[in-house]
Amino acid sequence: MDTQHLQRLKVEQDKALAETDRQLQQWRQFHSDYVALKKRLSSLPMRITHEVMVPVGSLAFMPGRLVHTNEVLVLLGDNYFVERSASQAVDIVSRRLQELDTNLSSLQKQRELLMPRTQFTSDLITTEIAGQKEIVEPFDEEKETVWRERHKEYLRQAGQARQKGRAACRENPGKEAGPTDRQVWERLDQLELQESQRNELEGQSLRHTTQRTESRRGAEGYSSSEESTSQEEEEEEEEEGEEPVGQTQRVKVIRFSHTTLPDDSVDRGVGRSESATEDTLASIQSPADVYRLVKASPPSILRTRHSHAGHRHTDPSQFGDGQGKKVTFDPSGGVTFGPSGGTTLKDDAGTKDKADPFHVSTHKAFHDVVVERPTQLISGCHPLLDLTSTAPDGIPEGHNAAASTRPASRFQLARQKKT
Amino acid sequence: MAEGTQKRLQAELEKFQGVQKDIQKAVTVRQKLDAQLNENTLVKEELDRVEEEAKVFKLVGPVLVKQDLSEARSNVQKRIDYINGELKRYDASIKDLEKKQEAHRDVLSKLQHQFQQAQVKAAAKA
Repeated sequence: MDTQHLQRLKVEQDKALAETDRQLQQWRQFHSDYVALKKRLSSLPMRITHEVMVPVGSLAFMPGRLVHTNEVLVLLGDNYFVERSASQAVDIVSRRLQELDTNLSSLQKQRELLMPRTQFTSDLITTEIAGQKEIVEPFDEEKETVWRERHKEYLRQAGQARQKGRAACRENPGKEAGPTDRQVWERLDQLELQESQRNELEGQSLRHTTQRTESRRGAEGYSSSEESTSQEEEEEEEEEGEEPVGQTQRVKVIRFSHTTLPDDSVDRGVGRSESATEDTLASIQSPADVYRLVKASPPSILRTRHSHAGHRHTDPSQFGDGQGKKVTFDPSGGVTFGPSGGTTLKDDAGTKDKADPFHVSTHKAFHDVVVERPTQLISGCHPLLDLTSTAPDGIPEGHNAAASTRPASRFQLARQKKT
Repeated sequence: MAEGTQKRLQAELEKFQGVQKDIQKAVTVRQKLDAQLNENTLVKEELDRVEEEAKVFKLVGPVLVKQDLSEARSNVQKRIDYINGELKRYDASIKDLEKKQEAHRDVLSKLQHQFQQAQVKAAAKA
């Protein structure tokens, strides 16, 4: 489509549209005129005479009186006049208005016809200017079938070549025959191993590296499927602690050692060993270790009874440092670091160990000054004694103290009534 | 040879343009007639509605002249008939002119073709 031709077409269409608009405006003007005339005609005979200013010439007026208020000379057309009464003239005007309306509606339709045409042309012009072109591909049935045959052939050949390559690799495993990216992966493996050796997160790293190697295997794709199986065999051997001889390229050394994680479910006394804290403190070598030592479970979104309790009453003798941080002491599960009370469910404490690597219960790494809340507990019940009553809520013992200073909830009251 | 063709081409073109002008004139007159016909039809209708005693005037120059209703009616009717006749005449004339235009167009295109061929020959020779 030639831009020039399109422009010319647009010009013509715009002209037509403008003409229609002009005519529309004219007719609308007539319409309004006739309506005004009608009003005037109907108001004229209301009075016998009207006081008016009679125009004399083009610049002067003269006060006068309209006498024959009901007699109107109507121009019918072609220089013919007829004398009519005001109401008859009104009828004539109404008839003319009707015709006007039909004309107007037809003009409007014409305009509506023209509008989309111009829009379409302008759209074409803009696409032409933007350089968009219709992409037309010739479609030939025979050529398509021929091409399909050839494509199949190519695929078959490629498959065969792949098979050959794999067989060759299997025969010469030590050969430096692999593509460069495999070497890159192996280098990455070595670097990861180094990193994991520095890292003390044994269980996690073991899991992660195996996962990573497996995922990488998947990424390498079909070409290395044969080799990956051989690699897996190697890895199994490695996990047992051996290193296959003579396979230097694809050796993945995974070293791990076990740490004895503290068992939460067993010891739940207030007097937990502090010596352990010192040991673990010394072993902190990275920020991750801190997480391990401190049970830093994220604040639970569950609404607990002491959700706003920042302070818990504890035995100040336990903590010597004056770091001044907020610490919630949870004799059941250890130290919780966070604004809300820890929702360490005693029931899950045992499983929590495995699930939450950050959950270190009794190695209290923080020695803080804890602000004590004035409570009634000190003389009263032992925290442990309330274990059974509060276990289902998942709230650590000592809740009673916190709860007593706050308005007790209905459920708590109900429960307390039961027990 | 080429010049002769060119002259012929020009002559034919002029004739074609003349015919086109005629057509346009005829069309304009026809449009005017059409408008007048509509007007007179309206007048006729109104006059038919008017009761017998009503006064009818005709504007002749600056003068309003009283006319008889029946006389006015017949006058208007005659005018309408006259306009219809004129319209038909002009319609036929326009059709005729259009045919002539077609013929001229054909001749023109033929001549143009000849002219182009002559030009190509001349270019090939030179």
